[in-house]
Amino acid sequence: MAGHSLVVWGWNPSKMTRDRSDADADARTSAPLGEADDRTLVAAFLAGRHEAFDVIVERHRRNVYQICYRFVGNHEDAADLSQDVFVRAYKGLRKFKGDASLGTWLYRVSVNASLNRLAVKRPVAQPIEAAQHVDGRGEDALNQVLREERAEQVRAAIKHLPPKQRATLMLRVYQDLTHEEISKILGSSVGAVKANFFHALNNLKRLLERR
Amino acid sequence: MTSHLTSEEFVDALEGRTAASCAGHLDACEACRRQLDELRSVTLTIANDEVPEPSPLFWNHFSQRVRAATEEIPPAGLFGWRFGWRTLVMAAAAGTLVVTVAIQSRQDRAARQGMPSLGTTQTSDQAGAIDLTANQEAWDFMMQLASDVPADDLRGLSAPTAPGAADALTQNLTPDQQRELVRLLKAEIGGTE
Repeated sequence: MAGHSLVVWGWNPSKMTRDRSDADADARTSAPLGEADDRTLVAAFLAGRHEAFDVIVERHRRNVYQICYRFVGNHEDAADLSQDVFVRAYKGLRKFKGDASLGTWLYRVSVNASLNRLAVKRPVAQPIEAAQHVDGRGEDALNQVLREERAEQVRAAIKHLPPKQRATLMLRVYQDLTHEEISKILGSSVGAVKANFFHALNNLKRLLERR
Repeated sequence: MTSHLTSEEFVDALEGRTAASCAGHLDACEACRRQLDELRSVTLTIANDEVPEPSPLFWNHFSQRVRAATEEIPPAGLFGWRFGWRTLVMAAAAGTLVVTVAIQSRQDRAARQGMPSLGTTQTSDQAGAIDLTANQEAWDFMMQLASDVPADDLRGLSAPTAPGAADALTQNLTPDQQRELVRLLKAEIGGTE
């Protein structure tokens, strides 16, 4: 967003800055992959170096987990869903063309897996009024409790949003993606993404005012 | 601009990309200004929500889970379309060679025996005069290969494409069949018997 970023966790979705031929050459060697960019990692994986996928997992697991958590709302399901995302990525990495960053591609896989999970297993949305956290320890326990309670209310409200609005909101507010990037991930027009974002914010305002 | 802002214009204004015409409307319209302030307030409220960070131990465990889950999966990216494509081409080439040799052999035999070739509209059944030769087994073998294998099955035809498979196949032929195969191959490449 102009002037200030609303992103909560910083993640540069693209480290793919090198020439493809360099990446391919590196991929075929036994050079360490820990510092390799995403393009090199993908090329190495497709050349048969399984350890390249381990690096991809290590590099992107937190962001995949966080987007999954936003959808399912608890650690256990988010962990399972994140694993499913990487299994899908493992199977489908040959389809990755490199026209978008690997991070953006993994966002797409994550969102699709999350939407599929929601379609199959519709979670019981917790009432916003009941969302609270009781574990408050430390000197500012009261503030911590209030802050956490508010956060739980926000998460509960987000769960009530329609799937596309929820996905748009998460990718825009929490991942700081542009509307153009979101449109590619969701397969929508930029105008539809903006409309979804607008309606998501309006619905959230209404839901949060109910409490 | 007299009409209220659209949803897209609200989003643009929220993100600091207000068009000049919209800015003029916002200055004059209390309702749109209030709604924009409410959207901004909601955005700031939800932006402060963070996902609880799992323990460091979880991440190591997670990577192990993913590795275990992917170990049993055939690495399609490595061999999927490349191996399948190559196999398909080799199988198709082998099939084409078999068919070509078979047709050429029949034409040669027909020419030697004064029969119409397959280039005419007459079929072998219509001709009805193909002499069984001493190499009939070899001929049947070739024809069976050429006619009994559906095109779709060529995709899964692994034996002829495996290394050494052709050698093993020819070693199983009888001496007569081997001589016939040599004759057919020489005829195919333009040599003499």
